[in-house]
Amino acid sequence: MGCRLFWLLFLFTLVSLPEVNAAPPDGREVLRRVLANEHHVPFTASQKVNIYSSGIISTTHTREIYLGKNRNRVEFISPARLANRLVINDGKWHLEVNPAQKLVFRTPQNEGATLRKDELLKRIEQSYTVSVDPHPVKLEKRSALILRITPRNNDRDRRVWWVDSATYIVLQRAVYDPENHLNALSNFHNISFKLGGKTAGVLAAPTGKMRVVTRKTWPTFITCEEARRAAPSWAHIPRNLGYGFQFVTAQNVQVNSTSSIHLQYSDGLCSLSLIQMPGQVAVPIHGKSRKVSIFSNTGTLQKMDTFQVLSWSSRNVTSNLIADLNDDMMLRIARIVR
Amino acid sequence: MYCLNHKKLNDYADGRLSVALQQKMQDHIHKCKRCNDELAEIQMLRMMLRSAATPAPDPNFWPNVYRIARLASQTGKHSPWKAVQPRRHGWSVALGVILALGLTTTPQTLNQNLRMMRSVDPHALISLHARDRVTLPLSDAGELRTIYTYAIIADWEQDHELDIK
Repeated sequence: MGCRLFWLLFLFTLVSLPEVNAAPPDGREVLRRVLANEHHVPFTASQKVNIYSSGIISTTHTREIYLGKNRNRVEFISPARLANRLVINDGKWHLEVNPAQKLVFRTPQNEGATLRKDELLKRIEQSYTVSVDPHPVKLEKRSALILRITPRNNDRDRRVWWVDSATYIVLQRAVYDPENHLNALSNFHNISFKLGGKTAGVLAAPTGKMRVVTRKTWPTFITCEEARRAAPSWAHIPRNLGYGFQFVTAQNVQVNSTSSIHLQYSDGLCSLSLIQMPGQVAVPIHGKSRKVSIFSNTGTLQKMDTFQVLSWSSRNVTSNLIADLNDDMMLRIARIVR
Repeated sequence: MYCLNHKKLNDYADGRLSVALQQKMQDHIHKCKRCNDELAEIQMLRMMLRSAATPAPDPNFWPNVYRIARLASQTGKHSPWKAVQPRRHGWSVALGVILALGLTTTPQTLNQNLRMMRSVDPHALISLHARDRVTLPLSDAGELRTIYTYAIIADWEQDHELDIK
């Protein structure tokens, strides 16, 4: 009897050992799987986004459907100011629907194939350490791995992601500034990976008399060389801005009817826009602001939501740097741009 | 009706106030939309004045001056105004037009004109940044979508509707 019990216990231990000791994949591998699966795994969920800015919390609720292949529909539920607005990516068009004004903006959908996945992971690893907590946790009744993405020099935001162990969809994201204050928290709830017949017609824009405005699209340049060839003579296009921020895209655009060039730089997670305009262009102050010096030029640094806008003029070009970085980093990067 | 701090905005823009007052003004400007807008106008006007080229005189200005001087030196009695007499009517008309414009241009229309000068709303910059960033892999899409939507609404409210291309 005792011998039989021993063998039963032994077998039970053998069977359950792999479960207990199965180590989660390492941080790089989790990040790679998140990258591979985002926009490709179909699911429905509600999302709550909290943005903490200057002590004020703004909360947004949305209802979201993801159908894979970059097709999705997001409906704002609250606050009242945003309620009923829709963002639809139907695979061909990116639609922003404002039913209150019976207005639809549409833009050809950008596939976002701007950075190779291996290049993206390389950039992230240059600026951040990526690790996974040894034990999964329960979130929304699902097993989630906690992925910690920490800047190597504590000079930019730190991220914590709760990643679904089965699908590698990020269920919850927290963003902390270098002083360890929570900047933003977003999480999916009521998530379901069984769509069934709920998807018919969800990508169709609302019917009724809507004014459809098609935004003009401009060519996007994905290498620095291409961008330099196509850019106007006054534009200055650095290959990188230091601190791990490297060129991603360039686009000639119009902002408030002013011809501009929009350059995007990224460290893999945090991206930064450099928007240049010929001549001196005023940027009125709307947020908390202060005057700053960029060598011999005076600029204005203003905080709006979680972003900072740094504007200055030099050599008859007005430059605007937009990013969610602290004052010190904004100024250090501006001095590289000049 | 202007806010009480309005008179000091020029000094604030020049950085002429004491450190304590400068800080007090800054706090006020962040809360007061009227002062914030007014300060933006002042800064814009100064930037325009700094960047504006000095207007060139009429091509006939210097030849006329020389002609008058020459005539005066030749006759000793000649009134220099006689030489420009045929143009008096033209000057009168120009002066009338300037006065009429001055009388019909209210501070509001001046502000509107200033707004029509080259200026870019920071909300437009934020919306452009957030809109493109949301398309990048691994972006915090929920947060960016929210910020983008608020920024685009604010940009519309600044009368820049439909012009982000």
